[in-house]
Amino acid sequence: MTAESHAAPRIASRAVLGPDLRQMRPVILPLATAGTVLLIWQLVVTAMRIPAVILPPPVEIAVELWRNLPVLLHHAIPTTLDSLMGFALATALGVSLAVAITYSPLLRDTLYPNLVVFQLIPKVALAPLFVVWLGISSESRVAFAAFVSFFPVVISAAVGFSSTEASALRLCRSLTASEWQSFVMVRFPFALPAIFSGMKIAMTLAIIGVIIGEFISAKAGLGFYILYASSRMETGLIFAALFVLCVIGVSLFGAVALAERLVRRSYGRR
Amino acid sequence: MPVIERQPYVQVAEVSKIYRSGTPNAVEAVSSVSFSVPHGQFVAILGPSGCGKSTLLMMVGGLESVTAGHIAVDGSAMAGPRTSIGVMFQDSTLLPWKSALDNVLFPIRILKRPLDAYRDSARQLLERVGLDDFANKKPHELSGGMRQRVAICRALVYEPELLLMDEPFSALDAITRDEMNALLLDLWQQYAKTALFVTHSIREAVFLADRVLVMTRRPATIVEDLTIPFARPRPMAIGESPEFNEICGHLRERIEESHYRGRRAGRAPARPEFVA
Repeated sequence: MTAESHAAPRIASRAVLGPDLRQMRPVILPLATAGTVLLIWQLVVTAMRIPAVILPPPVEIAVELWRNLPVLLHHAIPTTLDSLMGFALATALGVSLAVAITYSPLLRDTLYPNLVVFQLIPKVALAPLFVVWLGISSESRVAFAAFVSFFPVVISAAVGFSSTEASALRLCRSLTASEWQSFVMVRFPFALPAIFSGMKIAMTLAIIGVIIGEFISAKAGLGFYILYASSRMETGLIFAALFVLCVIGVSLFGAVALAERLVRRSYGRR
Repeated sequence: MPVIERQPYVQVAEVSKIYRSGTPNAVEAVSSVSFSVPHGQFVAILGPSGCGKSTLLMMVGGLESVTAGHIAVDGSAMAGPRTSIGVMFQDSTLLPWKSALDNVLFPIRILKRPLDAYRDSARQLLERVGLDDFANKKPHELSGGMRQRVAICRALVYEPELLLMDEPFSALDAITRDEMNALLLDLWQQYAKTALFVTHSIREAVFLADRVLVMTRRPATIVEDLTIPFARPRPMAIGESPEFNEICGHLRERIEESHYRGRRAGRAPARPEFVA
């Protein structure tokens, strides 16, 4: 603060612009980087005359995106819905199981080591099994997305619940709080940051799960559309679909982050 | 002088606590301790760290089980925590997402009493400890001393009959600690009824209490029960008086004596300068 005010008279214009620019820095820097990469991409592809089938220039991708936007949005809907459902299922099951593990030492000792080992399995390899069990409908993709994104929720929620300050629980006990009261008023809010960090991972994994499911079996969805475009060698369209997928991913992740802010703020107010 | 009651408010009879009882690494934390506290008395339990005084306090609060013996509060045997007993712990244990005021009101929520009826008294308590401007601040915005003041308010807001304090100011610096002691005495006159205060600071014990129990390690038992003669209210300057220092000296001697005896029992080499 003092350094700034000392420098102010010498470079007045910078002092006026400075604070604003510095605030925008976390937005400007990544955008500028992305813009530069796209520019280099465009220049390299044109200069080296790389065929569009191999790597289309960003401008052509943008044109494809614009031209096929209705189709892409049509396919974006099932992908988004399935991801959300898989994520919701994973969160509900994951947090419930974490609660059970926290309160039952027997369950913890029997399940927890197995969960950790199970997490090491490359779960993507199990996708065909879900088609065998649940068919090629949307349920199989939702189930697979939930299966893939379930583990980070359980593990981080269990860690969150068990890392609640022992002194806070002792305070509850001294006030004759019921188990339910100390869960709702102390354990749960203490675990919220951990639960949400698990949920953020789960959200991205759920989208991956749905796309893989769509690669295997679907008749709609962005995963299906990417496969369709690649079979016709329409590389620009693949990139356009990937761009839509990115937008979905960022929005859903942002929604979870926003939910975290709201929930944590509501706990602060009460 | 208070009227002598037929039944003391807190009664501790032949109480022992053995951890991992029956195993080769059993540890006797408290050994056959007996004392009683009449209603309205402020009693300090003084002893070196690790002597089992905190364990004793937690047993009185129903937060630890008793291995042998009997504890009764207000005439009935302790079977678990009670709402008529307030506990202050070594750390403030504030909930980080709640404001100071909401932390003070936390017991009211747990006890399902009407919040509106207690909001005013919670604010008054915060005002009493000089935190009226900080009622809406979160714990991380408060200093260590401020947090412990919020914890005092939280322990008093639901008007417990007995207040148990487990070295509540031991994590604070000496100046803040003196401030907190003065503040506690001030609040004490107005709010709480009976108090047990665990500490390893001799001066703190003498300044605060009506009566000091000296507890020692090995055997973890009470070796001295001393009544402090100073009238209340007690000014801070009382710590400067020769009488105050004489009492402190006496208590220190008692602690060292029993330490020495404990060492001999523990087969440690005797130090000749203490034998006289």
